[in-house]
Amino acid sequence: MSLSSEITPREVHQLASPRVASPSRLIEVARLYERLAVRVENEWETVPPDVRELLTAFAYNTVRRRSVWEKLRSNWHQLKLAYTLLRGQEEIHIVSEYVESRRHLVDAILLAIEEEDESYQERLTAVVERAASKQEDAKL
Amino acid sequence: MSDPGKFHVEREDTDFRTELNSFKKKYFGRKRKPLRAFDTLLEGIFDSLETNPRNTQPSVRGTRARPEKWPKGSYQEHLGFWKLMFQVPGQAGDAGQGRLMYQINFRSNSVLPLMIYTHKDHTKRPPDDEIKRVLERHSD
Repeated sequence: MSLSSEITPREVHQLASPRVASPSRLIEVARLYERLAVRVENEWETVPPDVRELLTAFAYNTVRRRSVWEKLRSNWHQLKLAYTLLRGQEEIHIVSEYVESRRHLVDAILLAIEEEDESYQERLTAVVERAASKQEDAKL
Repeated sequence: MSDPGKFHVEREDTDFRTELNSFKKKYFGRKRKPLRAFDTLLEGIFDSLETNPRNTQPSVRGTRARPEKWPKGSYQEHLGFWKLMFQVPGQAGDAGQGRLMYQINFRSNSVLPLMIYTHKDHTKRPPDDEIKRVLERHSD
């Protein structure tokens, strides 16, 4: 199944800022993040341009530098989320799964972007060749 | 006596030291506090590579590793090629997304660090206005 048949740009947008802080919704979102991360790692070049553009915006929006006001607003949202979820002690693993899966997806997108960069490919080839010649020298 | 199950990390490899010095110069300059935090983080990463260089689970330090595809024509059966993601101390945004690439030699049980960089070094990041516009376009 391709990524495009699994998710639409609108769904990606909703995933970027989920407002419903129920444990079941968070589990659902976390699992979708994980599935998306695996697809991005394996099939980035086949992702439709509109979905790719939105995933890129989502990743950069997540890691961008924030102003003090944005940080406060974001922290307030996270506090509300944590309060809703942590009323029951058992839900702590859900928060952790959600945070980890979101991180995994953002990493997967940023790494896919890096790997498209020509200077990255050139540098990579150079270091791998250097390591291989070192290995040859060690054999002599 | 050294533990036979342990991997030897080639921390003093000359080429990697050169890479590391330019990385430190670029991202820390004379900022001593984040530089110290980075040195501690890197030592912790090397310690964990000694025990298990193929750990894909997120670590307590917030790092995560994954296997990488070899550049064309450089695959060798007894070698593994991995990338570890970490947060660069004192940096935010693209410059905060650090990566360490390393090679695992299963014959000699050794790990050779190859390359260290951040996402900022290899990105074609769209301007922030463009990111905002893309996210807003799909929010209707």
